[in-house]
Amino acid sequence: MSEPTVLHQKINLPYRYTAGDFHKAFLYGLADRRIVGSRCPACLTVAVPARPFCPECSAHSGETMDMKPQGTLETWSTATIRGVTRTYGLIRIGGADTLMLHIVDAEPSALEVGMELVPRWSPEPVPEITAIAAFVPA
Amino acid sequence: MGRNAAIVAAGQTDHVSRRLDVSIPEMVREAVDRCLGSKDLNPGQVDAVVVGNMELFEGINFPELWMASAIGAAGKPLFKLNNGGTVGASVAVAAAHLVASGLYDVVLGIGYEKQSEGETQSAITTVGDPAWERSVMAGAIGNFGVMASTYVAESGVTAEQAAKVTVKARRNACLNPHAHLQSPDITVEEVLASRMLAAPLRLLDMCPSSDGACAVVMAAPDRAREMTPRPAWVAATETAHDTQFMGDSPKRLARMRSLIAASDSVYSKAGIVDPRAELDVAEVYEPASYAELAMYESLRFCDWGEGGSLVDEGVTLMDGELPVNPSGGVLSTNPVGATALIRVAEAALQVMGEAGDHQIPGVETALATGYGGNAWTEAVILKGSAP
Repeated sequence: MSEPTVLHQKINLPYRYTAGDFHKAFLYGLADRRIVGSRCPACLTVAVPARPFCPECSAHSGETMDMKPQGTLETWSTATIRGVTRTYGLIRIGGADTLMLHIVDAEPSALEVGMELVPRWSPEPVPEITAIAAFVPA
Repeated sequence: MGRNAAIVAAGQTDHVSRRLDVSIPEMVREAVDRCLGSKDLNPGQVDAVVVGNMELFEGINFPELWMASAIGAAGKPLFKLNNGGTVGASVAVAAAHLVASGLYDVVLGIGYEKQSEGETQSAITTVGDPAWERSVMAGAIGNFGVMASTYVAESGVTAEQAAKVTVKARRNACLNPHAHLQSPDITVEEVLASRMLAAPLRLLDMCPSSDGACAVVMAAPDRAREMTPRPAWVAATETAHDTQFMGDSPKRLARMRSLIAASDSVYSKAGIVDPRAELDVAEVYEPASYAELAMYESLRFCDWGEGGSLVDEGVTLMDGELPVNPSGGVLSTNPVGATALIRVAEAALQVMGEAGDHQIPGVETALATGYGGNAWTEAVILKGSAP
């Protein structure tokens, strides 16, 4: 009993994701190379991605809206995770009131707060966030 | 609050990277035994138990069932909480509410994590929205990196000032026999030379990953006075939440809305106007060196943008005007589900005068906070006399 007993096991955890109308509008917009947000009818907060409830006042969102496919870089970090180095940025899309997390493909030394970025679309038009491969300097 | 509640006992394991000598229930029992044993209490005196940890971290569901026999909870009311990094402080707040409500006289609160037994980063990724963030997020450290870079941009805080927070923590930890990382000779230069993890965060700017558990006993006034000569009275508690997505509240990364809301609320409830002058010690949940400086500002220990100056002036050192984390803090010890309860337990030990070598003399009023992924804060004010 001098050696500790340690069992090594692995669990697979499959899951399904039901998007709902607002997330669906955002995801299928990406497949169409559009970035879709939503506007709160009560406090006029514009949120990207589109979502069913206002992040500021919790009202039901009104209409979805197509955002200008451009962003400004608000903050970022460059991290190496499992051997892969990537820059993660919070990006203000088309002047929205919220920021969106995505990968920024640029030399970290070339980045500045407030600089303009544009999406680099993936060749495959999939209804997933990865339809935008990364944001790059405009 | 209905009636008063007080912490009468606190105990914890000696936190390390990997406990190979005990299972999770055995490790938790160790903290419970140390807690109850510190005041010659026994499990039979406990009316109800609250237990918390991080969901998915050890791949175990219903963890409270796995350890019911170890913590003396079988056949008793047993409540489980699983609200992220702040869960340990939520355990303390829930225990206080259960006692204050009059439903139970003596409640045992437990937090634990055996981080060595799971894939922490994989588990944290499940926090992200499946459609928006999981594919483009970088685990906890990437999120902290984004938070820290926001704070640097807004406040002008320097890497040297952040490094001083780590030096303070790891040196304070040398006076705490339970602390995981104790570094008597650590220097600012060593922190600045450590490996970059997620800019601007270096390895020594980050909290470790620990195995450990913590327990406290919360009691009603008459029971509390029987159990210990100087209970740590709960003067105020607050819980504040924010929304899930990092980008929804642009300013909250550096100036946490939930931390401001929770701390302002407990200051108001406890009649505290100038926290820097009126608090004798604070145990805050700082996941990274930069975060502690940002928290000084949200906790109103100083003006906006002055967090770096506070550490430069030594205000928060062990012998400073307002010592912060004399235990060594989260930068020295981080068994996540226990971490926020350790903050409350350490604050209670300071008020009870039982903190040993890291005791701050004459503590009457102490603040403890819990933190969870920028989205939750718990705040607790403990006092040496009943409110």
